[in-house]
Amino acid sequence: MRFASVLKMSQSVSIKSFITLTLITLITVCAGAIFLAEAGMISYTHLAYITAENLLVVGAVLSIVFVSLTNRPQNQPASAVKTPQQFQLVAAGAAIFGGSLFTMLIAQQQGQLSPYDTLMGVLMGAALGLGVSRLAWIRSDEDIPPVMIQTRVVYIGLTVALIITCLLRWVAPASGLLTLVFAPFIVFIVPGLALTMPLLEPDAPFSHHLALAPILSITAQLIILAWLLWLGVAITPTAILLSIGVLTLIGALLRMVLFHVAQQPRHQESR
Amino acid sequence: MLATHTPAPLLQTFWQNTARILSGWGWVLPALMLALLLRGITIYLFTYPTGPDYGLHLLFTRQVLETGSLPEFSANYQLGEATWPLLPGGPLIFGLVAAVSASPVFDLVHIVMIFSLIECIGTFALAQQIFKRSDAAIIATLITAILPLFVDMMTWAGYPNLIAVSLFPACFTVWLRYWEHPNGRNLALLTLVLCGTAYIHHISTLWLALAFSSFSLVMLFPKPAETLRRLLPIAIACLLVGLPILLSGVQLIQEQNAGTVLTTATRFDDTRVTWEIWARVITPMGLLLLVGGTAAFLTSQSVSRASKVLIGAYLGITLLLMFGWVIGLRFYYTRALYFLSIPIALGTAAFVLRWQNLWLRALCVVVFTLTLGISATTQAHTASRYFEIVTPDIIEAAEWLKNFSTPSDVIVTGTFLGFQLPHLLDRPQIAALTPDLISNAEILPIAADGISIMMGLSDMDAAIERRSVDFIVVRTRTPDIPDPARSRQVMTVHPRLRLVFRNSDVLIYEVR
Repeated sequence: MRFASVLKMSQSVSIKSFITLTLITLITVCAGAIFLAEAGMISYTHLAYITAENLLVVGAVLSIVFVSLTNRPQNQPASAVKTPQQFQLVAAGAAIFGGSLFTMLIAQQQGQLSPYDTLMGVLMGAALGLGVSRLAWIRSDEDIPPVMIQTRVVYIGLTVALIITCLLRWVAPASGLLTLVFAPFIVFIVPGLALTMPLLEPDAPFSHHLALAPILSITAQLIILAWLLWLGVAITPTAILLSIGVLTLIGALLRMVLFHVAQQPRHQESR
Repeated sequence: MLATHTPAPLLQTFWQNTARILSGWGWVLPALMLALLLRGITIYLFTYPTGPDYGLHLLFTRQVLETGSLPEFSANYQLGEATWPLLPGGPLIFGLVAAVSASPVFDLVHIVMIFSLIECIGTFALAQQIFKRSDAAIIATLITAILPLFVDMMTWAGYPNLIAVSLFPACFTVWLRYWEHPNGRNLALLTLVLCGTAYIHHISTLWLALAFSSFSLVMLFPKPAETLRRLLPIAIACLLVGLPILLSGVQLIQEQNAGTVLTTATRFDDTRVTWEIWARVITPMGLLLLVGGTAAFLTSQSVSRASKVLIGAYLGITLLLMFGWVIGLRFYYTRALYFLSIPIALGTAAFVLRWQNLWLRALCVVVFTLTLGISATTQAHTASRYFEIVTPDIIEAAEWLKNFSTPSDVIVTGTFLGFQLPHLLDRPQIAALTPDLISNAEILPIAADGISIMMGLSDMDAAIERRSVDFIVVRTRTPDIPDPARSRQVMTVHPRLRLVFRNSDVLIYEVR
């Protein structure tokens, strides 16, 4: 009985290893053929590329088998972690290898290497390096004290930005500073940041506010525009600037009210 | 002893400080910049941003800023008889920046790049929300940054669609946050985000509505009371805040007769998804990541049921509309490909985490990122050259027409130029469009006449008479009609046409 279960387990392990090895080999070999085709070294009708395309379809099916064989809680740490330092070396290797290969492929594809392409190669390397290094990161994000910022500082900053924008709109309309810096900041960040301050948890790190600020800025302004259009109010630059100001003010007032409400039980407790 | 121990705390402090600064989405800053540059190829490496579509979208914005209200008809385009078949949110975003900066709206095309950052940061937040771990979030963000489908959409300038899809990850994050913690703050956040996003692009709004409706239906079955307690506040808040948006949507559905289009319109038959289109937009590696990733995501034990249902519903809707012809659903099927980014990104993260061995995980991340990245770069360069519509030569041709035609002269153009010329030249125009490219059915006859003229079909002369055509503009570098060779032959030998202008991009024929 025990022998049978051991045999079954060893068979399952060997099948899993076989599928894993086959899948990773297939993915790597097919990626090689794709690199060659995308870099223009072989044509898209070349046997190697067509084979790779077909093998990837097979790989898609194989990946389902692989997934069914590896169904386990994903919070389990990955094996083969020897030391974080060792893995940092792998991350550095991934950055250098990935960045160089990407740059070389673009150079081959374009017939020359422009500064733009080089920058993309460098960024690809950096993105891969940071990404791979994070795979071996054992501590969770909660262990790192996040960057916090005072609410008062945020609202003062937003108000100053709004005032500068209005001034620039008056004295230097369509100037580079206004068009490239202040107008996008006012449209994409200011109202959203003013609203995330009351709507996110008080202890949310500043990066969370920054992540949600753009979408909230855009959607809140679009809602106001929809109401203005529906009510027959003309959409003018003044109306748009006013609506941004009103949204910022609403955010600040809401923050103040919620802060006041949160403080009240503490006062009662202290009495 | 002291000498051997001093560097370790220093190194540790350095890493701690770096980690603190990079905490949250700071880890993916290079990926964000890469996304910006990849999509930016279509904008920064050409004299004018590539793609036809933004010509009409920004013309709409210009009309809004000039009149202060939503225009009913497009100026010049299809003889000024075309209604605007769109939700106005996408173009209005450009209008916001134009109004604040006082710059001409056509100088602000580059602001669409900001949405590549919003998309990647949103994906990071969504993956963090779902997997509760930063390695998964970083993998998902990396994949989103380099997916060829966004680059492809940028090349033909489908900006409102791109903007709406870019906001989807944040929408889903906020939805799942509310589902986990249904409190007032999260409800307010969700209401603002949902209502605003629903105002941007009609097809994307359809996706959102179908995905959230399917999610709600599936979640209702096991725990109806608990689900309703969460859903009802959303419905009430969205109805109150987004009333005008809802009414705009209903009006658009009625005007465009959407129900009939989705069930009977045959004009989308040519847009069925083929392997060739899949390989260009999603890539063969994308197929593996979608299939394996979806399996890994949906069977993952560490992903909540709500997350699985939401992403599963979204993917199900996408597949349904992508292969809709199987069940008799009429739709611009290839458009559904552009909605696959979230399942691919999250699926890749789940798939990579299935590898037990850390080295293999690292190898997978490198191989997937490089393969998709190089495909995206190729796509950006080749498709941008194909979709380079506005060039200095086109501007020169528009100037020539301005000087040598009268304000009432009717001008016929090919498909791509037909989207751009209306804002370059104040003359009534006819754009030759194949039926699958048309959203508003009232312009089908005009567009068909345009096709007859541009392709030299048997009723070409009748169409010229019917529409009182005075000039025909033909692009020479890349074709923007189905059979350009035939078109050139007919134009050359036609007795009523006389070549009056030519440069390296354009030929202009005058009708005698």
